[in-house]
Amino acid sequence: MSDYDELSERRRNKLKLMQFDKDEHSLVESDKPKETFEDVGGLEEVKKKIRMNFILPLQQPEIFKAYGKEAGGSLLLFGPPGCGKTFLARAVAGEIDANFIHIELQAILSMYVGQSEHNLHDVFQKARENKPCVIFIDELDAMGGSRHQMRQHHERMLVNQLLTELDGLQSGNDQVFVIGATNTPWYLDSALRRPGRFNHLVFVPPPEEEERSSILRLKLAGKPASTLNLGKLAAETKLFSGADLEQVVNDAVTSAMERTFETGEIQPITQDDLRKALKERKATTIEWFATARNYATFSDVNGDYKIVLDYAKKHGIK
Amino acid sequence: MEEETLTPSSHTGYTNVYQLMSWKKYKEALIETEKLLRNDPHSPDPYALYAQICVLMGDYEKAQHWVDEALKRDPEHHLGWYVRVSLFYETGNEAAFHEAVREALRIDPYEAHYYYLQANQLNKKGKFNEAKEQIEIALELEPENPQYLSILSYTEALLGNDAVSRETEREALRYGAEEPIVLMYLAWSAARRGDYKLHETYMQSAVRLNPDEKQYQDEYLESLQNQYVLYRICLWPNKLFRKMKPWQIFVMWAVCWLLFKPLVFAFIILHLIAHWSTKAIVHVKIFGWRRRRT
Repeated sequence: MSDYDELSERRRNKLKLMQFDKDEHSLVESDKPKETFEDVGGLEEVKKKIRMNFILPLQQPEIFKAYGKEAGGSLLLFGPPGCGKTFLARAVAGEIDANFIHIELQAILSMYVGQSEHNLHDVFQKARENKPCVIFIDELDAMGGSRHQMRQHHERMLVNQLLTELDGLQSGNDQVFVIGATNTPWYLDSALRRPGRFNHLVFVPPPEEEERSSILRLKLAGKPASTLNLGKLAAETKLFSGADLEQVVNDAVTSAMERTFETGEIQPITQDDLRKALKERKATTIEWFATARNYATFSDVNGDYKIVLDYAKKHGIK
Repeated sequence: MEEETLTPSSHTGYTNVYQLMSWKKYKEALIETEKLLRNDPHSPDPYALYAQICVLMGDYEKAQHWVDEALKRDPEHHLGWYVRVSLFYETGNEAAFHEAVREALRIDPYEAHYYYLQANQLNKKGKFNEAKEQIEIALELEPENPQYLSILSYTEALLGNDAVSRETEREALRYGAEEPIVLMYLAWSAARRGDYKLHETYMQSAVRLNPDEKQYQDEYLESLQNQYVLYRICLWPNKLFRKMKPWQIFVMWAVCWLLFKPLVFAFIILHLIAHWSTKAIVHVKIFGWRRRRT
C-alpha cells in the first residue's frame, strides 16, 4: 500500500496537463437590456443624478451645449455589495436603447493571463462595432486599481490600457459609454477619476423601506405564501441589501419546504418563516459602511465620500 | 512557493488566487482555492494557501486547521510553516511562535520574513541590539525590502543612532514610499528622534493608504496631538530621557522627587491636562462632535 502511495505520488508530481482558458471570450456577456429606470424601484436621487449627468446630455445635446456642457465622460457606481449596481447599469443601457457588454471579475482575471491588453481592446472594439453600446465593468477596482500598489508590470499595463481606451472614447468614439461599478472606490487609480474618464461618481445606497417591501414582494412572487405583512418585515430590515433580502426569502422557503416534506402537503411560506430567517441574518452592508466611514474620515482628500458620511448620519448607522 | 510547486495545469488557478489576494478580495480568493483543493486534494499547496488567506482575513481558528492539514501532507512545506509562524505571531502566542520560527528556519533558512518577525518581537521587549542583528540578516537576504529598511531605521532610532536612522529612512522611502507599514515605522522612527512634524506627515500618509486599521488611526490621532505647543512642552523631557540609561532616568526622577516634589507634581498634572485636552481637540477636528465608532 505504501509502495502504491509513493508511486502514485511520484506520478502525480510528473503529471503535466496543459489547460487553456477556453471561456476567455464567453466570460464577457453581451446583450440588449429591456430594463429601464421604471424597473428600478426607488433610488430617485441616484436616477436623477444619472439622468442629469449621463442620459439627458445624450438625448438633448443641444440644450447642454447652449449651457457650455458637453456629453461624455463615464459613470462610476459605488456602494455596498448587493444593492443593485448591475441592475442600474442595465437600466441605463435600456434607457438609451443601447447594447450592453458586461465585464465581470472572472473576465478581468482572465485578462491577466496572456495578452491582457489586447483582450480589453477587443472588448472596446466590439462595443465600437455595436453602437450605441454600454460597457459595464463590474468590480472596476480589480481592473483599475492604484498603480502605486501594483508590483507586477502586467497589472499596470492593464490600467494603462483602460486609460487609453477611455481617452479613446473621448476622442471620436461617440455612442460608446462606460459604466464602472465597485464596492471599493478608494482602491481605484486616481488617474481614472480625471475629467473625461470616470468623472461622475454615484453612490448607490441600500434600498429604503418601501423598496425593501417591493423587493420582498418580487422575491416571493409565484411562491406559495400565506397572508404576509411585508411592510412590517421591510421596517425590520433596515440596511439590508437586495441580496440580503433574497437570502432571507431563500431561508424562509427552505423552512416551508421542510414542513412540506414532513407533512406531505404543500405548506405556504408564513410570516413566522420570514421572521425566523430574518433573525438569523444581519445586514451585510454594515461592514461596508464601517470601512467606507474610515476612508471618508481619514483618506478622503477630495471629499468624494462625504455622501457616505451624510448617509450614515441620516440613517443612524453605528 | 509558486516556483517550486506549481505545475502548468494549476498555474492559472494559483495565479488567479494570488491576483485576488493582491486585490484584497479574500472571499473570492477562498472560492478559487476551493477549486484548487477539489482538483488536487493530495497536494499540501492549496491547504497552505487557504490557511494563508484565512490569516489575512483574521480567521485564525480556520487558518490553524488548514495549516495543520497542509503540514500533515508535507511536514516540511515552506508556505505551511510560513503561515504557521505568521499565525502564532498574529495571535501573540509567543512560546509557540519561537518554537515554530526555529523549525521554520531549519526548513527554510533563506526566508527573510522570519528574521523580521523576530526583530519585531525583540524590539517590543526592548532588546534593540538583538533586534538589529535579526533585521540585518533579513536585509542580507532582501537588501531592497522597504519594510525591513524601515524597521531598521526605527531600531537605529531606538538605539539613539539618529544619523544612521535618517540614512536608512531615505533608503526605505526609495523602495516603499507608498506602503503604509513602511510609513508607520518611519513615523515611529521620526517620533523617536524627536521630529514630531515628520512623524505627523508619515502617519498622515500611512492612514490615508490604510484607514481601515485601528492602529493606523490611533497612531495618526496621537501624531496630531504634537501640533499643540503645550503637548510638545510636556514631551520635551522625552528627548532628554532617550539619551540616558534607565538607571540614570531613575536617579534623576528620585532627585527631582526629593528636591522639587511640588514641581514634579505640577509637571505630572500639566502632562495629564495637555494629553487629554489635545486628545479631545484632535477628536473634534477629525470626527466632529460624534463618538468614534470602533
